[in-house]
Amino acid sequence: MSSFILLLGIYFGIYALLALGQNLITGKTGLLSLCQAAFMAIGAYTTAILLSRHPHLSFVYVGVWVILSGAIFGLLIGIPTLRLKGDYLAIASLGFGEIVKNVLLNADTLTGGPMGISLPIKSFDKGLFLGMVWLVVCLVLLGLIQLQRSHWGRGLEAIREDELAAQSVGLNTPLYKGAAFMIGAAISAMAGMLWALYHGSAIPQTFDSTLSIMVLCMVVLGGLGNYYGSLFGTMVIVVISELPRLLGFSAIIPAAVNQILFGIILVSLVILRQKKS
Amino acid sequence: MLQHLLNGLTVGSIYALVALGYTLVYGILKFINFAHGDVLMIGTYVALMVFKGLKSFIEIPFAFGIAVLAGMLSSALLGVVIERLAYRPLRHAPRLAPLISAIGVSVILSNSAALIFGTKSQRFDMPFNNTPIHCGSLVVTPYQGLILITAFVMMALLHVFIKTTRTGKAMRASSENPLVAELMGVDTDRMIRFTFIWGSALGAIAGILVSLDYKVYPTLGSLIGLKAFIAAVVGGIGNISGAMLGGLLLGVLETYGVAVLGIPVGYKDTVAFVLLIIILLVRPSGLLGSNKRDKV
Amino acid sequence: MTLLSTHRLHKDFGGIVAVNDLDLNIEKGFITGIIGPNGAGKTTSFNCMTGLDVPTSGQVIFNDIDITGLPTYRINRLGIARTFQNLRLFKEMTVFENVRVAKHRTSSAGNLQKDSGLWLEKLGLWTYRDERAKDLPYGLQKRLEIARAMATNPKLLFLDEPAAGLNQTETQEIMELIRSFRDSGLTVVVIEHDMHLIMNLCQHITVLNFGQKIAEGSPESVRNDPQVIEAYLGKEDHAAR
Repeated sequence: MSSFILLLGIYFGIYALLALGQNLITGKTGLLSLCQAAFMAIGAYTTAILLSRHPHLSFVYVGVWVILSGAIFGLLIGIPTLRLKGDYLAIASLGFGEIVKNVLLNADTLTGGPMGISLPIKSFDKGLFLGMVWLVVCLVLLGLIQLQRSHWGRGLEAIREDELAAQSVGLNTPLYKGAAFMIGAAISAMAGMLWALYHGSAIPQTFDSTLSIMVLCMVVLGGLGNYYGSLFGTMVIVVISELPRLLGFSAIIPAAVNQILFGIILVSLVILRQKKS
Repeated sequence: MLQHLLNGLTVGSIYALVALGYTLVYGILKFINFAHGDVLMIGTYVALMVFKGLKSFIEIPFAFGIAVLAGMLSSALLGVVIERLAYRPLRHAPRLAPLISAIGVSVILSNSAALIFGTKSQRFDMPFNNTPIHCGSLVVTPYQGLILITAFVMMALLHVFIKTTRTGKAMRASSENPLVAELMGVDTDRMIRFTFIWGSALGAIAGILVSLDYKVYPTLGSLIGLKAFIAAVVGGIGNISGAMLGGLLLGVLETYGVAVLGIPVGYKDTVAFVLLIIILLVRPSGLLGSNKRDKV
Repeated sequence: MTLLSTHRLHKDFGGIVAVNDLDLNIEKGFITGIIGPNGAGKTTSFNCMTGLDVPTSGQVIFNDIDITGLPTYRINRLGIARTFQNLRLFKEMTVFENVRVAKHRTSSAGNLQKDSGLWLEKLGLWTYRDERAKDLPYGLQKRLEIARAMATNPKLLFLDEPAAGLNQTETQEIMELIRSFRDSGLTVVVIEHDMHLIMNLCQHITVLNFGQKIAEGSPESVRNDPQVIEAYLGKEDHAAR
């Protein structure tokens, strides 16, 4: 039982990172991107490729590379979208997610194809790993809150409110949006690294677009732009989606039911919030 | 070479049919109906069920015809219901809201289909003899012929509807400027309903046509939906001729990419996304799109 | 002395000409009015001068620098600020934050808080500092937009219909405000349909029609210009008949 709670805590932490990254991009900056799973995959595969070739690298060193590669890929999807309006971005980012998955499945020599990559590391003590995950979550949360209070954070909000007006008061909006994407992607890449370390492998199927939608659901549930809300939203969704599986009920309740529930949450919350305001 | 063009146009006309659904809705509501692909998937399932139920009782072509009609009707109905429940309350909400709602609807539909019909894909038997016909060096299957003819007829019908009927003209007026159209006595809600009916019904036809060769499965709509959306953007979203052009172009490029340029089949879908990103960078409003911006 | 000038500025939208070979001169330290019937190209020429639209051809020179086609934020940093015809505030942010975001580049970190406060006080918005921008009454929203533009310390301020939708008292207050800006050395360009405001406020008026300049000069000379009367009232051939 206690090991089960630890596991839930680990999942909670990893998903929380994804939700925080999504909230920075979507909630704070107002850019609807749908490829958190792809950013996560970048982190997981960077970790897997580095460690499978050089098993003795320190985690801190790998972490630096994970953050860098996440940021680079964030910029890669960010650049075309600097010129795109909201709904185009959603599709372009979905497309980006599909490209990443296609490459993971097909570039066998680098990614191991559909089988993925196994890591030559021994499994972690759950308690220790839980501590590690939440240390990262706390650091990221602290950083994001610091950012929110800074001029940069207010600039991002101004862009969300009205991009043209933000430009007209001297904000270099492409720079701001690019930075939001880089930071959000780097955070998700860290989640990917933790995921790969915990599972001892990186497999393409994990990083499906349904994961990206689940993350969006967490952020919408907790309230767009509210970081603590994202933690709450993540907790609810993780409990809904992982509990039956971890308790071994998944044979009785098919995964589709969870997904339907996420869908209903998304639609009804958006409509309820609109009615309130 | 000509053969690839023909194959490309066949795939492309499917994309075009689906792309029209995105473009019609975008034209009037200015938002992407993410659930469009799933609406057409449901219609395809309904057609499959009806076909299976009827084919042992009446002649196969009849059964198929009725199945297609049933599929179109159910998609159209579903489209209208979704608009009423999930989009209309958000018509004056911030941009992100209807988009998120549409994503939610999409998830609900595809997973409901998985729950009701099972995730295993099902065959839609060809309702006719599909022996290829040779015309010189060109090979045409009756299936390809059916797709090309159906797509052409449906697009022509839509064109006539929009250009000549009163309702069609009102639809165009609404997509030009909903507020003014309303002041002139156009019932915007009704026009929006019409766009959903047309879009969803055309989508259902495309879904049925595709699944004749492939199979029917719950995520059928998502990939074809994504591709068709790209086609709509490439052609210039909101522009009806643009959707047709974009669809055909995408189909041809994909076919040529694999057959002529030797792009590995595993990366076939990547062609579309790369094309999308290039188009968005070079011509953000698409090939035939007008370069309108919010008035400041 | 000329602060900003355009040379053969031209903008068309897919064949529809909005600004047609426009030569403008904005004199430093003056309030210049731009008037003209609807669709005369007033806002589009504003947009071309502030980087929101990229001119099809022609040049915009500000302070001897060619700013044609520069991004809006760069133009703002060079010293041009503007307001919008339909308010574009950061609606969900507070009044204070609206100004602070704009003030950031022109105040040092230590003074930012204080300077933003001073600005709000100067414009009579201090009492509303913690309200969300969208909750302000319309007149104050217009004032806040001016405050936000001024917080970027511009040398040149473009106001797109500052009095539209305001009542007489509010219009009077806005006029006083614009005058006080001018008196402190700012150059102002105003688009406005309110002729009372234009005639009383501006030293120099440029009249546009169909994207072209049809007259310019002092309020007196413009008021009596036959071409201007024709643009506004239409050709009076019924009188001739």
